[in-house]
Amino acid sequence: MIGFIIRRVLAMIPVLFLVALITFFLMKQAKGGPFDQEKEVAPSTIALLNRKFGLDKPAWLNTAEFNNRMSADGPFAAVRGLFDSQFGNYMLNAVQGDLGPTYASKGTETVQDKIKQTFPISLRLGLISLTFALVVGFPLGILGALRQNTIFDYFSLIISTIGFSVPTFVTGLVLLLVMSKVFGVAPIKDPSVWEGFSMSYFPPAIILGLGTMAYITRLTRSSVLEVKRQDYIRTAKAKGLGDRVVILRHILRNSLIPVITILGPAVAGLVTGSFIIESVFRVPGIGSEFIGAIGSRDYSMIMGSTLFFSLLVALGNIMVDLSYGLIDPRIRNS
Amino acid sequence: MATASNVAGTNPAQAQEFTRPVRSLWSDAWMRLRRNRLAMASIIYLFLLALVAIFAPVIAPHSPSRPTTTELRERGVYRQAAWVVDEKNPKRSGIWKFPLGTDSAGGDVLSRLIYGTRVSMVVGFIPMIFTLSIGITIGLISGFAGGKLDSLLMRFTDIIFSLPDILFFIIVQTAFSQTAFGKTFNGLLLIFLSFSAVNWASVSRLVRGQVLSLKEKEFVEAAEAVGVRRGSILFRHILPNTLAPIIVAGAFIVPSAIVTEATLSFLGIGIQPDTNPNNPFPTSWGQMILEGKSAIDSQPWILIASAIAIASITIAFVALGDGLRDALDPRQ
Repeated sequence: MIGFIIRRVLAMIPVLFLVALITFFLMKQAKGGPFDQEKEVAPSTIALLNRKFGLDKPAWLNTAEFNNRMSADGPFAAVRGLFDSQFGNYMLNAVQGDLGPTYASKGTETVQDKIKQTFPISLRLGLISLTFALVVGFPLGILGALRQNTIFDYFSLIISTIGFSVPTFVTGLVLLLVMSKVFGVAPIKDPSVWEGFSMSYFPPAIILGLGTMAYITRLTRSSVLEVKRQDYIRTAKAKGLGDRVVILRHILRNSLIPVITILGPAVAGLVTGSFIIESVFRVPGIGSEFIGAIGSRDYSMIMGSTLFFSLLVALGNIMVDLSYGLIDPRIRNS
Repeated sequence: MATASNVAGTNPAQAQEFTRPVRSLWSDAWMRLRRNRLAMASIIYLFLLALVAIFAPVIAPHSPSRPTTTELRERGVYRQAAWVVDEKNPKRSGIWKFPLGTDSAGGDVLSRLIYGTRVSMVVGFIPMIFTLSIGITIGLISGFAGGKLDSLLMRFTDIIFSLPDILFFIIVQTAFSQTAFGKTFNGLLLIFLSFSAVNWASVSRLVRGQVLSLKEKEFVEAAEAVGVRRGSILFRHILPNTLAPIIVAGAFIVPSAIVTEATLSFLGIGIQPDTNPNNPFPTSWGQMILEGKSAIDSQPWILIASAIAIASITIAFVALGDGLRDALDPRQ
């Protein structure tokens, strides 16, 4: 088990490195630097800012520094010199948990500070929507499958097809429209409501969880339908077990496994889906921060939050893989 | 496939008879699909949308782009939908000349909606073809070759698979949208490429799995025993048998590509709006939603109309995908 965890954590490293590499490469392709918006800034000031953020160094490999140190300090120092580049320094700092200063704040705030400030809000939003998705999706799927081709089944099918196919920003905006036109609820302007758990989280959380809920419903439904036809269910019924025992102990337990498999992608979907929902409902979470960073071309913030999102997604997948073993002894033993 | 489905299609009574023409997997699947009412309704709806997309210039009552100054007097800024009467500001009341009202530039919402169909159709199908081609090629090679090449390709696939895709798209759009390459076809080409660059991974996993299990089947062994060449085994025996799951996967790629484009355009980094009246892709539904969001109080119909458009096209594609899956996989 511990060996498995270690292997999976090590396997995360190339993925995260590749994400950093791709993101950094793409950011370098974008036209215009982060300090271009201020038209009045003198070139000397820009040069100063660039030096402060290490942007005066080569992007990938610092061959000049390599040659310097090679002749002066020997090969070890030279290798360090080779990586004294924008990417090299970024990665070295990132490994130590330092994602660098945000460009937007001119270096007074670091990316990790911003993440620490805004992530709890997104986390609360994500937890509520995951709970919603599980609490609604699971029973809806079971009900649909157990009462196949009845009104319950059609209801669960309609809800899940809509939730599965319609993008969240559409459902979110429709909900906002209904809230303001029909119920007269004004959009939230005061940011302090997001500091603790509050009712304001529910509309965005439900919309965010809608897709996951629908996916869970669809999967649970087909999984229960498949298990229902297995021989061991007929055996259980034949030996006179009551409906309740057959459903709870035999059907549900066995149909849970495929549902767990999608929780990894589901968590990933909640994480990456949050920035669209956050911008629709004006939730000041890490997603809004990311969208803002794109608007202002704050590259360090984009880099930092992309890495952070990827780490979350990768961790989510590992947790799901671990949970298989806990639920299904067949996987644990293989 | 065509002849068999014609037999089933033109003469259903004959298909019911005890002696009937030989039915292939495909005509069987077609029969099952025809019985699925939701899927058939979706096919008809999507076919109509395709016609709307092709004949947009004929159907649209007005030009989707910015009107001339004389037209603007009539169109106004934010005219409401035709049946809405604005008592405070009669200039904003709806008239039937513009059934769904006009936007903040005086553009006719209905005409924009009609032209927007084009983007959704193109952005659904072309990336699907790209994605399937890459995914099938890599999956076939990986599954058929096995060994070192297989594990190398699969390691690569795993890494691509674990990229958070929408994040990747956003970053690609930010990086390239201002370059000449990013502006080709209003930015459509960039969306096609970035979407396919990530989404092939799930297709290649699927195809590889299929190839691995088909490779062990008796008919492949038989073909090998008779001395059929490896290439023919791959293309004549294995590939046709993987087609059913590939078609289902393809049917679900279309709505996800449509949603991706709409999401990116909604974030303001997708398709670039064009006021040139000769541009075949002047607007997209995602963009209209973005505009509708800021005009949510003054002209709610921009938002409502485009929301219905996106919701119905994605629901139709998903229902079609569900129908295809049920039809092609008799085990369900």
